[in-house]
Amino acid sequence: MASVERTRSAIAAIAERVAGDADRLRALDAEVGDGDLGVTVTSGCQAVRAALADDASQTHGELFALVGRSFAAANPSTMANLLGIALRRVVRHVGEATDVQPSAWTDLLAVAIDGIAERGGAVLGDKTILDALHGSHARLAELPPTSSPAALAAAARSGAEDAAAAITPLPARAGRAAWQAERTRGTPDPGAELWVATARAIEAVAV
Amino acid sequence: MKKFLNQPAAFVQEMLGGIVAAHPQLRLHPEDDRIVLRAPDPAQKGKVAIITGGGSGHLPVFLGYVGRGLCSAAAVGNIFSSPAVETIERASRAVEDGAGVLYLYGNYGGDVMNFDEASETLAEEGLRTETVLVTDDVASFPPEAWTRRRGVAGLVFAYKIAGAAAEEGRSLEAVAEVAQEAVARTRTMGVGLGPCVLPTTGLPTFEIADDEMEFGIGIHGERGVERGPMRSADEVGRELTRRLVDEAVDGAPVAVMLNSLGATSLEELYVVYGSVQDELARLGVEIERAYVGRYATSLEMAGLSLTLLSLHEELGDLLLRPAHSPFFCELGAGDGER
Repeated sequence: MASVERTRSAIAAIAERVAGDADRLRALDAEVGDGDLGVTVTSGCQAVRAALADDASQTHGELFALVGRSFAAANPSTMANLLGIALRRVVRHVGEATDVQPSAWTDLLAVAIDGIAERGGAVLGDKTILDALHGSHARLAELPPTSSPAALAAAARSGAEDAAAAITPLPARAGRAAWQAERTRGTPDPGAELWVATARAIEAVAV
Repeated sequence: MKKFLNQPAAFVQEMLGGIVAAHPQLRLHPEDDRIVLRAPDPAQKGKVAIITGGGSGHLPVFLGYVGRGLCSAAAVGNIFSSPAVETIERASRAVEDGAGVLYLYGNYGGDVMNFDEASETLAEEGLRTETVLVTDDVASFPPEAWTRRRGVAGLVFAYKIAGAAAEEGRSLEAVAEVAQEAVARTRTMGVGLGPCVLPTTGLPTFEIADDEMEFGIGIHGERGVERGPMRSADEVGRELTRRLVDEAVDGAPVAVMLNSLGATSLEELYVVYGSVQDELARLGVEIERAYVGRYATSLEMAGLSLTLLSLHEELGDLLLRPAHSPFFCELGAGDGER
């Protein structure tokens, strides 16, 4: 079980780790997109940590709402908007829950994926964050519901890494990177790499 | 570049504070200082509300068209960034008065995402919304894909027409329909001479040589269709006019808007306007009404845009109904008649 307090401190630790990848993500995005992913990640993670520092949310819904709002408002790029929307969907799904079972995280990930797919308009194989998220979800869905948090986190991380590697040779077909689709072959997708970095951070924090 | 600034991060909030201080007919939502509302107006009772919004940096777009006969509220984002979903939701709840809400804004990915998300949440609360995207920038997609184009200065015509229809008490569906019709008959093209500088980063939005101009520039400095050597005002006016008349409705009179993207002077606009008028006359296009000034800008970008709205009787009538905001005034039939 994850209490609100435990989830709060885990998210703060994850945000700190992901912020450490901001430079690498910025450089990738500068190659294929407009290069604003670094700022989105740096200022987004910073805003999340600042908001969590004096947060007193009683439910997971309130907590995720705060995280999504803070991240999206810090530097409202398309990626920030999409992640904000994903968190809003998660909030509607968890509602008033004070405890969230580890097995429920798989469903929450599915809800987030649906939100990003619907609003972002990308489909699997377009070479976006959606592919990496789906890679995590597919691996998680294979695990029995009784799996430990560590096993779940490892599955999410390895699924994300494999999916991100699998789309690297493809041309981008969504977002600004699609403007130079062929030139993106061989370059990892910055959005997918953002989720890989997040999944790695989750694993490090969950163990 | 030199700018009048206090804290760059507070630029948008300070601008909004100044606007509501100067113009008592506008106010900020008491719980969300990124929502610009009209002062309470009994004449609005039971009518369709129109909400617009988008990034800051385009004044008078977007919030400058909150006023009688125009929009009911604007959701304000940071410079060139979408307003938050929660802001759009709150604005909708604040202005909805039983007849539903029309979302009327420019076609940009982040804005569409956030307005659509808000619309879905509000539908669950029983609040009805319709959306019309303004898609007038001919440089962004070819004619057959006009519904995917970006929205630029044509926003102003869409506001004026939808606002007049709402003021008249038409239903949400009817207001959306006439707004969509106005958008379908509006075309804009910009020419850029120099970039604007973002107050937060101090960086220019694009680079261009002193002797070059860019045809088809977007309102955030997006790459246009053609970069070439500087041409005379006459050549620019004629070229823009020809490109837009190509897509205009045959035989329809037009409303013309010659708009400064920020730094370009009114004097220069009027120099260009002469050749726009001559070229329209040569092509046999009748001008119903001309607007020359700063209507949709990109901070202090140097450049201008030309917009043509192909009118028919109903659109012409709605365009000339009275409307008023601190940034836009239409006195009604007779005002500025040709």
